[in-house]
Amino acid sequence: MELTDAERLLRDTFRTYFTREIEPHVPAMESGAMLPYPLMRPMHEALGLDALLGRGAKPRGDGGRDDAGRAANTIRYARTTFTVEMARVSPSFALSYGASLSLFAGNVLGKGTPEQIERFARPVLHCEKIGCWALTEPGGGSDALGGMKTTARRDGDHFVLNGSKTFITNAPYADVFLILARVEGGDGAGSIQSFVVERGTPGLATGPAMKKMGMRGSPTGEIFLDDVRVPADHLLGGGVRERGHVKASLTSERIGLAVLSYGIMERCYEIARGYALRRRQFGRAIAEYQMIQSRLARMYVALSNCRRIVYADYLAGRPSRESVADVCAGKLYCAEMGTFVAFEAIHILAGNGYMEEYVVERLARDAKLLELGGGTTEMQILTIARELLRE
Amino acid sequence: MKILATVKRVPDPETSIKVKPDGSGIVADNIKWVVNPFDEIAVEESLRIKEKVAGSEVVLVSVGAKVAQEQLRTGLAMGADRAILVVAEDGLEPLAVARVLVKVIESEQPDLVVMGKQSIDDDSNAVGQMAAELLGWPQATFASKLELAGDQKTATVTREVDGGLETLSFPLPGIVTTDLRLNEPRYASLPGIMKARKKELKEIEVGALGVDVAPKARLVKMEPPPKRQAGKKVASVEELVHLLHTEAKVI
Ligand SMILES: Cc1cc2nc3c(=O)[nH]c(=O)nc-3n(C[C@H](O)[C@H](O)[C@H](O)COP(=O)(O)OP(=O)(O)OC[C@H]3O[C@@H](n4cnc5c(N)ncnc54)[C@H](O)[C@@H]3O)c2cc1C
Repeated sequence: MELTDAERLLRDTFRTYFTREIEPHVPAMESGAMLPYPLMRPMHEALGLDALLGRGAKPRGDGGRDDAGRAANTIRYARTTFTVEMARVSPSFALSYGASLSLFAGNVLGKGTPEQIERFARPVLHCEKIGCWALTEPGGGSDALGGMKTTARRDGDHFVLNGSKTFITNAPYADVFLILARVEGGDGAGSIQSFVVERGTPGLATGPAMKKMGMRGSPTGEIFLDDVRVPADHLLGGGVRERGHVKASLTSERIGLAVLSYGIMERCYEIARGYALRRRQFGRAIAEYQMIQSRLARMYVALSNCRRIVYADYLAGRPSRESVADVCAGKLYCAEMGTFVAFEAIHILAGNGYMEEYVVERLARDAKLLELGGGTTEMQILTIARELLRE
Repeated sequence: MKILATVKRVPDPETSIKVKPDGSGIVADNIKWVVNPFDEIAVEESLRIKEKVAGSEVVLVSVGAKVAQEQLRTGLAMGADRAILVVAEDGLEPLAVARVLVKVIESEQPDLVVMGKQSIDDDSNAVGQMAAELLGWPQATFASKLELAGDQKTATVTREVDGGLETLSFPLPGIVTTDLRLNEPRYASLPGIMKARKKELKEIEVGALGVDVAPKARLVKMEPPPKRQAGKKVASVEELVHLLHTEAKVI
């Protein structure tokens, strides 16, 4: 990609920041000795990120050749590259950040009333509070919408929530929760709606951070709702929303997750390439062996294709307005290639690749989550097939 | 108050530098270039003064190849107001750079010039001192603290010297060169980077300044440092002491 000077400076600044200010904390975050959240507000301040977010911060314009068009495109570049650089250093930091700012605040921003945006989204966008987004339940993962057991019953000017959620990013420490629940009785009966619940509300409890394969720096946990009373103005959007609004947030989540996969891939590829050039066996750099070259070239094929997917808007110079099928296709492909490239990197580094010190084993464990979260590979395929066969 | 800060383009201290096989210089391809870290501190200090003294202006100046624009943009993205690039071939000697700076200083007439104490590529540690001498201005080098009087007519600088601290006070205008502990430079922010795209960056050809920049010394040869030899494991303190005495000959 041909970058402008400003874009190169953005990338270099993000990379320097994450390498100097976040990477040294990764071991403590991975072991659970330190949480990712205290690093987020200082990051926003140092890099001036509040300006990147919030309502109206999305670049507009069709990216003409004029200055406004170029500036809009540089902002598009900045948004993707910021996540890429974050994922290169710590995918779990990026996951927690994304769950708070995109899944919680992004949803409130997109669908909330002006009061809800001001009261709930703004502090989360500025990393003064941490948010989470709770769809998945013990009995409903892939079929979260159809199998949803959490209910919201209208009681005067309140809703009463009951049920439980699991595998929720940030739940153990979140200040604000966006809870999806099925409305019982009355207006919108049977529909699924989102409710903002604040920590401290009687009846709301969370479990400890669960132990997991990867993404260990990102606390994941359960939420229990036992007759939780929330004022009716905590219903997202102020009134009952049409069916299908949950699917729209799933689509935007998928785009963000593809970028995490890409960041993982980029770092793993670079580590493997550098290692192959330096590591000598049988008197030569292993990069001179065709079997290693073949692995590296295939890793690069994935990287190159995924780059065009995650930078599609930037490369087009305008919002690409992809179809749902294309978004799912991109998410599926990037997620699978993220895992593929990370495991190839382990293979090229062999013994060292298997050791923590060389980073790729952590990135490979993290990469696998992206084939599951935001809808498993199978769910992407189901959606793609449904879209393709629609008459 | 008008503050001039210098910015030099240097190889990233974190990249590994290769010397050309013929010893005529370093391999310049494929290395990352950054703002000289001591200059970054100079820019930061200038910006802090600007933030304290209303109506201040921070002007950056670099002497070198056209590509040094990138480093000036970085300084502008940190918050400087405008920049001047004196286009010259890279690798001018310290005295030549000092003469060029003096010309710029004479036309800009800043109240204070803040410079890195040295650039991390050539490590000459000379330009600030030479420029002050040529101008007949006071200088304070290796500053670890810089304070201005309320009327901004005098500066007080703390310097780290062998075994202690030295405090100097002098009337402005003057030149201060920065040491590592003066401050921790900020990152260029996203809004800063967007704004920097439009800030003034003026280019001047070195020939137009009418100063003698011809080299006085000739680079004979560059050599990479010798490869580190493998270490040796010793079995006991006695053996260590013995080897330090007989082999290393340090005790
Ligand atoms: C680290 C982590 C963080 C998470 N963060 C969040 C969060 O912040 N918020 C949130 O709401 N959720 C979150 N999740 C939950 C995640 O979205 C779910 O795990 C995911 O949707 C899959 O659900 P499940 O685990 O119940 O698997 P299941 O739905 O039980 O699926 C099991 C397997 O069956 C397959 N399968 C299911 N149905 C079909 C079918 N019809 N056809 C073919 N195959 C099928 C699946 O693809 C999968 O391979 C997180 C999960 C993890 C691991």
